[in-house]
Amino acid sequence: MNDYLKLSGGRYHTAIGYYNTAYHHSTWFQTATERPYIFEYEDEGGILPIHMVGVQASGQIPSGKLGLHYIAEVGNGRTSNPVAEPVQNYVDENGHKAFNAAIFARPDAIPGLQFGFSVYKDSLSVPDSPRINETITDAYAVLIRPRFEWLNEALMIRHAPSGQHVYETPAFYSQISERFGMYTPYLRYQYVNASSHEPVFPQVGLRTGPSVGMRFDATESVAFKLQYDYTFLRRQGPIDGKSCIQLSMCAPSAAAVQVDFKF
Amino acid sequence: MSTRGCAIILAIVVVVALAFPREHSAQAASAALDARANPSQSLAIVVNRSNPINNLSFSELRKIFMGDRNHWPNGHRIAIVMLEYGQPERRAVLRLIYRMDEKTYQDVLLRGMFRGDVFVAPKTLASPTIVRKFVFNAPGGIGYLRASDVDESVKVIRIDGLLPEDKGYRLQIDESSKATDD
Amino acid sequence: MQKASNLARRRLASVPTLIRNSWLGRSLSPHLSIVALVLVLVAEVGVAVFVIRDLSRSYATVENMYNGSVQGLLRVGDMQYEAQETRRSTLYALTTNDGNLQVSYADQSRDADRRVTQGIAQYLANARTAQETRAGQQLAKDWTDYLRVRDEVLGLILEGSSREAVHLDLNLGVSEFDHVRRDLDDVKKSYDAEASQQLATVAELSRASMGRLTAALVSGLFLGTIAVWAIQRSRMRSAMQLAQLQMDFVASVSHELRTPLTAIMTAAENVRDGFALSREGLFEQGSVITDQANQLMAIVDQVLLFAATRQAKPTYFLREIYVNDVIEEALRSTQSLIEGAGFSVETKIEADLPPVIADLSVLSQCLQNLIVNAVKYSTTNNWISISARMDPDENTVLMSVQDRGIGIDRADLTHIFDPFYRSPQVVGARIQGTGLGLSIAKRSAEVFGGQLTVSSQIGVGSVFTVHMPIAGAVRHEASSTEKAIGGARA
Repeated sequence: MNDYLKLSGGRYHTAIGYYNTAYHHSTWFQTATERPYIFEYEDEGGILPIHMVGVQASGQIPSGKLGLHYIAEVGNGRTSNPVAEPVQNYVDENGHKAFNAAIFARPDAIPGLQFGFSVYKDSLSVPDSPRINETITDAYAVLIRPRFEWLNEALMIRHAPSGQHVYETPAFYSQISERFGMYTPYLRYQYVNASSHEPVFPQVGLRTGPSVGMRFDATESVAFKLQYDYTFLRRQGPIDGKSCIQLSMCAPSAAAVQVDFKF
Repeated sequence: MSTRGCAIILAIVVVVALAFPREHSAQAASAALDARANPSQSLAIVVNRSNPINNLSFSELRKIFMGDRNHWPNGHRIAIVMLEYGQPERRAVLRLIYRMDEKTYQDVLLRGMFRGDVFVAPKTLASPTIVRKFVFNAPGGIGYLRASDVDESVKVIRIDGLLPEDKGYRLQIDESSKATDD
Repeated sequence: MQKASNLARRRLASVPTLIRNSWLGRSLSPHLSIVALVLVLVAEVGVAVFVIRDLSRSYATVENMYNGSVQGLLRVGDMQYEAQETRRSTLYALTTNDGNLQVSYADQSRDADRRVTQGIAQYLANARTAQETRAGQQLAKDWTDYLRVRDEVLGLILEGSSREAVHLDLNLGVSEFDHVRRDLDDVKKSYDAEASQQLATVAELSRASMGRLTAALVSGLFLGTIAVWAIQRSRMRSAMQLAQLQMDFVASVSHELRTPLTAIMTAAENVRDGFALSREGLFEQGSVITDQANQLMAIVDQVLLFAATRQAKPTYFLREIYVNDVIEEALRSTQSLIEGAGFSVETKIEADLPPVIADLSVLSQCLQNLIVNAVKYSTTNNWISISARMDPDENTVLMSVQDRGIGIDRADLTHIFDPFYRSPQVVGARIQGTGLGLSIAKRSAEVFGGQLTVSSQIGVGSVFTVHMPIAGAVRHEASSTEKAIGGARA
């Protein structure tokens, strides 16, 4: 409609933080072979509501050189039923809609810098469990330059079952890379620590560790990536030394080779 | 590896990385300010004659070209026009406004279109004459021309209050720069 | 049935005779034939003038129609095409995302709309009526309104807002363009109506011209036929008259020849039969024979003289002569006739009359014929006057022979100089003659550039006057005898 109000509706990536809206399903766009663990897709074990079906309003906030933007969303959150489609494409399983509000700034003073904050709230109806109020807060600061990229993001996932203990799951990642000609080395460190009694995703536990890799843009349409992950799991030995070669993402395996195409 | 070790490595990388980015725009702007304005070297930003805008700050200009701003005050959608790859004017815009090379620009554009941030991709036109005609016909059009290629069919807007023929005008074409992707 | 058809055939056959004997047949003379021909010519010229005028008007109308309606229809056709092109090119820009091609289509659209605008301005400039001006102004307004929508649609297409562009074109563009299309149709209809009107005028003029031409042809044919018939009839009458005259001449000459031959025969018989034995008797009979033979000779001479005047190139002995000499010669030649008839001759000749160029014998013969006629056609008044005077106005010498004879009827005055002609009065009076005397006299005067005139009154007498141009002013028909004239002068 104008720069201050844009309305869209349908199925979209929830505006939680930066990574979920900056990188969609094409792996060619992202530097590493796969998304940070906390931003994995719901059907691949992700713990966040990556997709939402609803309505989104966004736009600029007149703020001069600060460059403030806002995003406000309302829609069907994710399902609590572990065997159903994670994204509720048609009907919300309960009467509560999911809400998300985000604000971010792109100051003129530092080109390429964007920082922001978002809050997501939903109500989950897990089987054999009281209603759980879900609150996901995210803060991020990224610096994107023509040959340099530094992404930093931190989340807090809060699940509060009615009348029960509140579970908070912190997570963060930091990714840095720089392009040298056709080669782009990168380094990422990610962390997520979920309680084993977490009502929604008790199987996550603690996952932390660095990933280092090299991206080679053979042509403007083809990229080769070689990545090594070292992941520390709670009460499990680190996964190291194993390698697997596959054509798509593989996690939490130690090494991966990926070929990405752009059409 | 311990958490502390990772944090140390991270910090080192940050320090190193911060030292690397090269700001072409600052150096180029400095050079442009010192140079005396030459109509064949100055890059004029042109809009449709019905556009109410007469002056833009450099940051606003950048926001427009980066797609952060999509509409003019009169409600018309901003339609950016670019010259074809290899043209000196295009290289100047990428260097001074976008502050990126051709490959990065293509990536950013593609990414924006894929994400839906860029609703309409900029038009790529073959010559300054066609740019003039496009901007003349499209009320929301914005493009760039050598100041010597401008005629009365389009309107030149001031950038930071300066016209292309004014001293200190930032947008200058550097004929010596090569058409490379870096 | 047979009787009826025969009757019809006889009546049909009598038609030419009826016409001939009708007032039309009797009144048509050569003069009237010429008049009829002149009338035909005048009528044809008049009709031609009208036809040329109609053709000119038709041409002017057609020219106006071409310059006005036909050219106007062509211009409207061009405008309709260019208006369609304006819209077409705009919508072509929707079919591509290539900015260069879209700009090219935008250029095409603007070029086309420029031509339409120019066409409308030209139409308004050439508008002759208030209705045309109104139509042009309405067209200009609707075209401007459509162009406003077109500019917006074009802008939306170039900005990438195709859906909005299509929406705008469907909602506004179609209706605005429809207004323009209707306006152009109205303009076209006005040109059509104007062309039809002009075509009707041309058709009307053509019909009028056809009618006039047909009438002119028919009347020309009719009058021409009548004129030709009249001329043929006149010639036939002249031929018949000439034949009649020749018959009369033959009869008269035969009678003239017969009379002296009879006297000669009688005298010869008397001598043969011995009735004239004495010297006196022989002398008497011999005198009769010689007198009658002389008379025969005169008749033959007259016929021969007439024949001579009819020669293509008669030979004359031209010289300057004085009328005194001519009169003396004529009187000498006719002395015996005059004295024998007991006539008195009165002569009045002016002094110092200038000479004339002529043949003395021929001119004298002319005068002799006039004197003979004066004697022949006299009554009891045996008087002849011969006069000669100068006419300074005409530069002519006039020789007149006057008598107090029976006179000539006015109706016969135009015929008395015709060869062999003898008036009914003379024939009724049984006065003998060949009918050649006056013809010879007239011819003789004319051959030397002169003329012979007459004035006469029944019962009073006649005056015959020979008008001869004086020497130096003569134009004659004589053959080339210039040597004789030069020799005489010398």
